[in-house]
Amino acid sequence: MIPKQSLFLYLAWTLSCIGLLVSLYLSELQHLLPCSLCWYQRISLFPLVIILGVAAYKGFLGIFPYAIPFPFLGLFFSSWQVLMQEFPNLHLSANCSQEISCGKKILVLGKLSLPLLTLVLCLALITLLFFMKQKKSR
Amino acid sequence: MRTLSIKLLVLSTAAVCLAALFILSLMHQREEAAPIPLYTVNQPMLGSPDAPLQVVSFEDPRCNACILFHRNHFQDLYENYIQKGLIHYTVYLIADLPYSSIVVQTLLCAANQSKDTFFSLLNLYYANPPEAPTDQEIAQELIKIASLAKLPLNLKTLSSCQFSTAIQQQVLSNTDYGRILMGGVIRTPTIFVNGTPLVRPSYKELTKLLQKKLKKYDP
Repeated sequence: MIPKQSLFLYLAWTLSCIGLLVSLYLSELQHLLPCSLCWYQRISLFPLVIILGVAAYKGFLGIFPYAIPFPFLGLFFSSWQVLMQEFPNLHLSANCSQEISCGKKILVLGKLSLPLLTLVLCLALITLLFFMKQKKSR
Repeated sequence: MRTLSIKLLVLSTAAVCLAALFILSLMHQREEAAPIPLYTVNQPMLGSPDAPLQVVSFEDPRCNACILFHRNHFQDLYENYIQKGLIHYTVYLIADLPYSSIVVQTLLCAANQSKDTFFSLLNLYYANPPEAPTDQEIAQELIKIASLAKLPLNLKTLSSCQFSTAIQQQVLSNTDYGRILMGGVIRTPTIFVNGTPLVRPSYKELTKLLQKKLKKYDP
């Protein structure tokens, strides 16, 4: 039986791997060039694949303080982009090029936009990491 | 025992991820979409209509990838394929970016006067795309480019055509058609070779597909 805290860590890592694969699939196979804000979200997500992977393998549950800033950063940038796309009247600006617009809504899985998916992923990662921390401290 | 099982789990997941990455890279190399029939009437064309390959390039004149592709490779494509009667080349202009519409409108107005002059103006535009803050100024810049190059165009007619409803309608329908063909999201340049789409291809990828398709026509 695998301890629950290790399982949470493993699940968080698996989620970040899925995020990496989906992101690469969209950019390399679907030829959707990532916008500036999408790049910041990628930067927040990709290191977790290594950090959480090594921690899960080693069973190192003290990874929490090193890993937690990344999903929070991803959450910040994805929320920013979601607000930008859903409420254009707010005039949220970002250093986005005209060619690859951050405000352009690309829907996947029916009605979900890409930054919304990232937002959900980051929330799930934060929840799992906090669960891992709580279980550890008990 | 516990450590061993989690290690095994992590290693097997990593193996699955690596396999997925490997499959993705294979798909990236081999992917060739099914041919799509295209409707290209009234679009500017170059080369012999009897050429074995019909190449249709969907371009947004404000897209950097289109500008670079045209600047770096069009001449080569022209000399090695169009002039030799191997491909019949159609430019399908669409407007998806800010200030694209006025450029496409002007270029299509030029095409309505003369298809050959259209390509001269397109080359001049791509060589040095005018940067101006308003549609009106961009329109004037384009007229200036045509005038300085002494292109055989009636500039008065060109100027009155630039903002006409008919040409605006044509640009909208071009763009809608491009969007439908590209599955809802415009990605330019998208080049169709006998109906097979290549999205933002490198010149190497394009010529590879051209050679592959031309082999079928070799006697």
